[in-house]
Amino acid sequence: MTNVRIFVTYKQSVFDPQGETIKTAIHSLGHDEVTSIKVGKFFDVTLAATGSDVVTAVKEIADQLLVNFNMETYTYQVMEEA
Amino acid sequence: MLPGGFSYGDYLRAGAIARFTNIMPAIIKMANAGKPVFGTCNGFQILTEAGLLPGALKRNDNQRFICRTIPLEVVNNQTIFTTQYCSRERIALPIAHADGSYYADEETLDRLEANNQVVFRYAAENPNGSLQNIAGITNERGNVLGMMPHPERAVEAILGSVDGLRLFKSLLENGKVRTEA
Amino acid sequence: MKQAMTPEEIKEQKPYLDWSLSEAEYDYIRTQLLGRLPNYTETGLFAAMWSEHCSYKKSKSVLRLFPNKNERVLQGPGEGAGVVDIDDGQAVVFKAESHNHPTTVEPYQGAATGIGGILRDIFSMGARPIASLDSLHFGELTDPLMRMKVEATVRGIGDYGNCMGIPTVAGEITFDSCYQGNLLCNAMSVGLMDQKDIQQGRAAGIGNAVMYVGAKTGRDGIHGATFASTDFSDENETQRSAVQVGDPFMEKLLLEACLDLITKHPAWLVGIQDMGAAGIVSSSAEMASEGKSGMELNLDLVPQREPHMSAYEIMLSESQERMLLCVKKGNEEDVKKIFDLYGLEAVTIGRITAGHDYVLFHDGEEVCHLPVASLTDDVLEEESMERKPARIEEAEKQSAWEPHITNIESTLADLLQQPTIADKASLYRQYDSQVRTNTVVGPGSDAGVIRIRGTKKGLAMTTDGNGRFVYLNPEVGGQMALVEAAANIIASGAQPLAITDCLNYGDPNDPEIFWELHQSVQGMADACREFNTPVISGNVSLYNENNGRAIHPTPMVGMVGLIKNIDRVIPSFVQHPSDKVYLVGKTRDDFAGSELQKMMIGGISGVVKPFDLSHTHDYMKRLLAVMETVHVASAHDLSEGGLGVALAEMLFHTDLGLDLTLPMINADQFFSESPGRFVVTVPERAMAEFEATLAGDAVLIGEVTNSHWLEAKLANGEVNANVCELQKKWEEAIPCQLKLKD
Repeated sequence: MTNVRIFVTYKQSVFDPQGETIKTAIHSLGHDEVTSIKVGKFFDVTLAATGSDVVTAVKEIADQLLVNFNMETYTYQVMEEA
Repeated sequence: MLPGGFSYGDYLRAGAIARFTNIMPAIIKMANAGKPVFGTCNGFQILTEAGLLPGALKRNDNQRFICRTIPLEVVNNQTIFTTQYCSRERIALPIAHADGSYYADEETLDRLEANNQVVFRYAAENPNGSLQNIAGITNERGNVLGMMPHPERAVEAILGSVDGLRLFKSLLENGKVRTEA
Repeated sequence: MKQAMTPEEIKEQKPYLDWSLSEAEYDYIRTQLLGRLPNYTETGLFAAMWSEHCSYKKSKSVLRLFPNKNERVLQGPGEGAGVVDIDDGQAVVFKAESHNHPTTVEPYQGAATGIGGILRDIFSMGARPIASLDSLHFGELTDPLMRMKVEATVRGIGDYGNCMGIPTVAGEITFDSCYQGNLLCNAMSVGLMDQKDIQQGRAAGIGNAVMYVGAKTGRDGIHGATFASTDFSDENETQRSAVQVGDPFMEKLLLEACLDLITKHPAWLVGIQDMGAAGIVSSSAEMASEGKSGMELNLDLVPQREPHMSAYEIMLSESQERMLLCVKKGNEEDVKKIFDLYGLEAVTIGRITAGHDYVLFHDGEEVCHLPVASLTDDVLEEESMERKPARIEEAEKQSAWEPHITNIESTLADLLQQPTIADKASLYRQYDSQVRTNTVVGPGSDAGVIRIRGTKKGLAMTTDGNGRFVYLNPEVGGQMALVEAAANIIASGAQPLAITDCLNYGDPNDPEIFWELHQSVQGMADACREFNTPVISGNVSLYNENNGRAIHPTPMVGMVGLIKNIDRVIPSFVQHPSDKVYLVGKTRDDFAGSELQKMMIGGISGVVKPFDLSHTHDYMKRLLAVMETVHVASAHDLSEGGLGVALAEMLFHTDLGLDLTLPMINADQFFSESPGRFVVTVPERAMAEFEATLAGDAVLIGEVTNSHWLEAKLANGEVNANVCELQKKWEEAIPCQLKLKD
């Protein structure tokens, strides 16, 4: 069993109003040193697979469903291999 | 016709899961054969997720669901959906959505404008941050229309506006739909 | 699975006290009802079923004061929701419920699941929900945390209702510091059905199946019922685990599946009930009690989404989107096929048995064996002490507060910016009010109006209830709540039919608060009888206190009215220049509890004076009658901010104005809040008949003009207000406050 965490965010070019709003709120708390915030989501996926099968599966799942490539991009992290 | 709603709860992304339902291949086939396909609101979202229309719909800029009637401009009255409108006519249609901000990259946007694929634009104000104030577009061929506003909610005077009626009348006029005799 | 404590340990250590079961109740149960010590599971079930929320043990004596029947009522309190005949074999079904404690703790999910719960009550009767309303009461917007709670609550209601595809068409939102630590979130749902499909929550017929349908059971909301039956204090801040999370997509599937079953296969179904507060135990015990049956359940068969759940947890879980069905023996597979179509689980978890016992099995063992009645009918009613509060006695001795207004225009502008009066569009536009394309009048008017497709009929609906008047004079305040609702319905041109209610009060163990409850219910009941609007359903929410401070007693009246001809809905804003303007009803010096008083002195005080209930009803009836015979152009009832605010509201979103002469009204009275008043505009040709019908109860005060100004000559001053400017201030007040950064 492998646990993978897939992170999905807007592409750099896409306006992220949520991120902007949160940044403003953080500034109002006194943390002006924060220069940028982007909001995304992550999926914790558990697969009954290991090794390169995991990579293939993650790419396909992200491609077909989890990510809308018109406006989003993703990275992923293998959390642990059982 | 792909109606509005919250298919699959809008979970993951609006329209993202619906575009895999059993009926979609038939719709894609129809679209590719040049038959008229019309999607409003969630329907528009599904059409973009399915790749039948370019671009994507993201969360409204103000992060909220918005339900109100707003002014639109009919940018292109040469489509099978809009022949009953005048060019540049101002109409009022209801919107009701949380994920209606149209996004496409610059290249796509340029192409849409060059090919007259923009059919409706938000007029007096842009309620959701859609790029180029885009409220509705067709595909290149012109047989698939997607729009965030709800013309089907503006067909009876008692409900407030009849500006949506002519969209359906256009389809009738252009022989694109048949009514029961 | 071993139970957490033995019966003897329960007796010694009294864990039930934490679950709000008193020692006296526990002793009564073990000595009078069981004749033995209850085990852990059984004790937990008693705590839930004997809570105020489930049993109404304290409030029942007061609720009996309400009239529950009239010639149109088909189903009164006691089922999922009330049912009223609206002719042509159709019925309207409605109910309201409070979700105050969950919303205070977790505003988004608390509000969302409040909607979810009330919707299930409607479709459990066999009706399709066609509209929602909500009555929200928050603390002051000057508090940044409160602003977040307002946004989250509205978003929660919107997300759930919009996803279900049910329009939210009306409601009210008020702000007062008394709700700071205890928000009120009351959700009302209205459904439509054919009378032949009316269902009941009843389990009967030996051998018939008890089937569980919908979402899996988890650990959410355990002791939500008892949670609603205790006060908040800082010690209890960590109540988060008692709030459930909603899934509106699943509920939509559940709604369609249930209506499919009810309308197409009624022969298979004996009874259906939603699983709400105290989940499986309350729905199953109540269904067994209603059917006068015994019931046996095997908890191992309950679909669970968490491992190792105890019997106690399974029975008390308040996981959302679940229904309980009693299905005729032999039809279980048929029912399962229907739910399979919608991707929903449908599992037989038990059977109806002979006798009257409620028996549960878990892990192969019997974990509960109780008489059904011990959980439902045998709950000890509690008598409560009552005492008229000293503050009311004191107020009666003092002279009345007078505002002494000098600048009428600036007072009007200030009042229009008070959050309780200001434009709520920035909030209600987050609700889809048009989905299903039957909304004739959406939020922002006196009442929401839904047309009934295929007929000429419509339904008008509203929620009202001013806690300030009830705080100062519960009996009169209760009457005023009902009259305000009726006024909103009649102003739309509809005939009031019946009401549902949410009674939101503080700790009933405080004799003054129980007195408030008793008196206000008496007042409401008297008005219900006068207006022939019985209470067909409702809900009581007590213990709305935080750190010892109670909310104002806030009874919410949810009223539905019938419009016979949908083409004759009366708008609430002026229509044509030269239409004549009338003030209906009597204006007095009623400032105690008014928005004006709160604005000017920072709080409310004084005496709320009685008014002539039967006379008010009489002229309101005549107003409705004349609306059916002549063309009344517009009508608007007066509430917070009195006449001044109402006149401004009638001009907003138009480009018209008013030119009025009011020699009988002085500057103060321009904002007084006397009950049962309307501003009505009537075309010149209808004047004679209008005046003949309303006689001494309507005064001609002026006419509608073409210029967008509010011009009025009062007894001791003048108003010349630019409506555009007023509208801008009214529109921007709340959005401004919500964006404030600290």
